[in-house]
Amino acid sequence: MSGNFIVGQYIPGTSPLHKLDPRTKLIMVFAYTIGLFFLPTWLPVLLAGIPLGIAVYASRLPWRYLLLGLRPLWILLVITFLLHLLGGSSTAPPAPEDVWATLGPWTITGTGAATGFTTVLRLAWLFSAASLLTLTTSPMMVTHGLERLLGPLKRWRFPAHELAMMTSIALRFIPTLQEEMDKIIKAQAARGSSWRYGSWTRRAQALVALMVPLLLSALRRADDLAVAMEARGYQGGEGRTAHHPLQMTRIDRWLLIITALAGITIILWRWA
Amino acid sequence: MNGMLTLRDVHFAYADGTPALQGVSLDIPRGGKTAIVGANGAGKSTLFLTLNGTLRPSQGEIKLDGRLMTYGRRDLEQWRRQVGLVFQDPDVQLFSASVEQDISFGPLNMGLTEDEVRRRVEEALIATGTEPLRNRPVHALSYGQKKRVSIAGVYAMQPDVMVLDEPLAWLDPAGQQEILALLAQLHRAGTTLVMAVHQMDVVADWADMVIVLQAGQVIYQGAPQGVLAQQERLLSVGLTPPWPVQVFHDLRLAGLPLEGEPPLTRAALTEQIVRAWPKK
Ligand SMILES: Nc1ncnc2c1ncn2[C@@H]1O[C@H](COP(=O)(O)OP(=O)(O)OP(=O)(O)O)[C@@H](O)[C@H]1O
Ligand SMILES: [Mg+2]
Repeated sequence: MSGNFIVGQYIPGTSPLHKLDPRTKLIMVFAYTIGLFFLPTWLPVLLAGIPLGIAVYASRLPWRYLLLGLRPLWILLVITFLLHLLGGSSTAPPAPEDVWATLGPWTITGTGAATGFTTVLRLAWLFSAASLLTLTTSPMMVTHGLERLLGPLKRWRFPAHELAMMTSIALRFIPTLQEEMDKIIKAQAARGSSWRYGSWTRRAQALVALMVPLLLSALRRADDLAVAMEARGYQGGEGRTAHHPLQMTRIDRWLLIITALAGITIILWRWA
Repeated sequence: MNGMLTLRDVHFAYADGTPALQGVSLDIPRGGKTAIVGANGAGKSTLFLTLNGTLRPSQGEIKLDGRLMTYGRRDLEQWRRQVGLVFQDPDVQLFSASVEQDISFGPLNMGLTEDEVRRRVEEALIATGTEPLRNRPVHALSYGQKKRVSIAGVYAMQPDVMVLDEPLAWLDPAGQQEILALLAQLHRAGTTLVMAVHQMDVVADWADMVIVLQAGQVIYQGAPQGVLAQQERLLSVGLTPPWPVQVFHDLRLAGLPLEGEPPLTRAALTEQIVRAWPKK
């Protein structure tokens, strides 16, 4: 079910990964994501799993948690793989020595298998890295780190505080909105309306009938939210308690240097 | 009168024209335990939102500690620091990603030092029994747990007046007892309490002042005894009297010669029955 998977589910702990500065973790996940898309073929992408593995080890979390986190993704992964495998991406006819098998209209090629594998790995690594971040960093620290990272942009009137606040509120409300949609769908299905079947016009009508209450409820929530925030004295970023600067340790600095070096290496390699 | 919060002729209508408060005047005594009762739609929640300046009346005045409230930034800041509001619906009140983060929201808005914020959050977590939930995502909590967390979020702001909108609704009896115990502890520490309740039994046990709202107007303010014992009057405004009062009337109808005022508590009822019991 969509309801019980939570990206933001933090698991408290005292592992080295938990203790890292949230900024370090945010930067590393960001760099890792970009890096993954610069890696061209399956072998380097596969090897990119090594730092991830080390990170999981350093988090002292059971591997199971990460696998559980990937579970809602597996259909997407399988479909992605099949699309590539069945030659969905190539336009030119495949070289004969590359062809593994032919199934009716589909040609299975070595290249297709390799790109499929690479893409699936990329997605899996990316998603694992992101969940590792939220598994080992409390939402408060994520918000806090984000606000500090974006802080310098405040000079150009960039709303760093508001953006960080919005991120944390979004983390909170995604599951709620999901539940709400589920509820509306069920309530409508109970009265015989569905956008899943019927003629196109009926489906379109049903979809509108789903979107309207969803939108209204989102608007009402936004309204309630404003009241709830005001009632507890929120008047924007100024006048709020300023946090002590987050403390980067030597390990944080080393990791950032390593991340930077790895990034430079990948870029040079791709350009050469 | 030593009113902590004083309302005079307060009117409020929602944007769609619904008149929710129509000339409310009342006094919340300092250090008291005031129960606000009234049928669904009587205006309790609306009244509460005006009590800390979140809704602004279209007419009438509100005084806090004898000072007339204006709606400037300074005033509002002070007001919300002094009057904490626990919402009826915890899903409306709780909007942060984790329990701890939500509890720290108010104190952070007050601009306290970071150490002080942390200290208050710890204290609130422990006092409300939400410590084990501190890192849980808010949306995954049970209703009763959410209720506690919303109380914790206001507790951490350490207001002089705590206004709670139906804090007992939907809780099981044990949960209700725990919240009442927590409120008793706050009251001993000097907090003025205002609470909307539907169970008149709780009002009889808990309150030292009752305000009855009907259709946006105050129709009674005074000691609990003055209104809770009046079965007809309560029924006419859509409220059910405490059960000892009901049993008292039933017994009288059945012919038991009970005397005096209808009792509010079980002990008082038992005593009256024993006194009226035909001696063998
Ligand atoms: N956001 C709103 N917009 C329009 N009308 C509203 C809104 N909120 C409440 N009302 C109306 O204002 C009146 C008072 O509502 P309020 O919520 O204050 O009652 P209540 O005493 O808290 O009721 P309950 O016991 O059900 O919580 C009702 O007629 C209600 O329909
Ligand atoms: Mg209400």
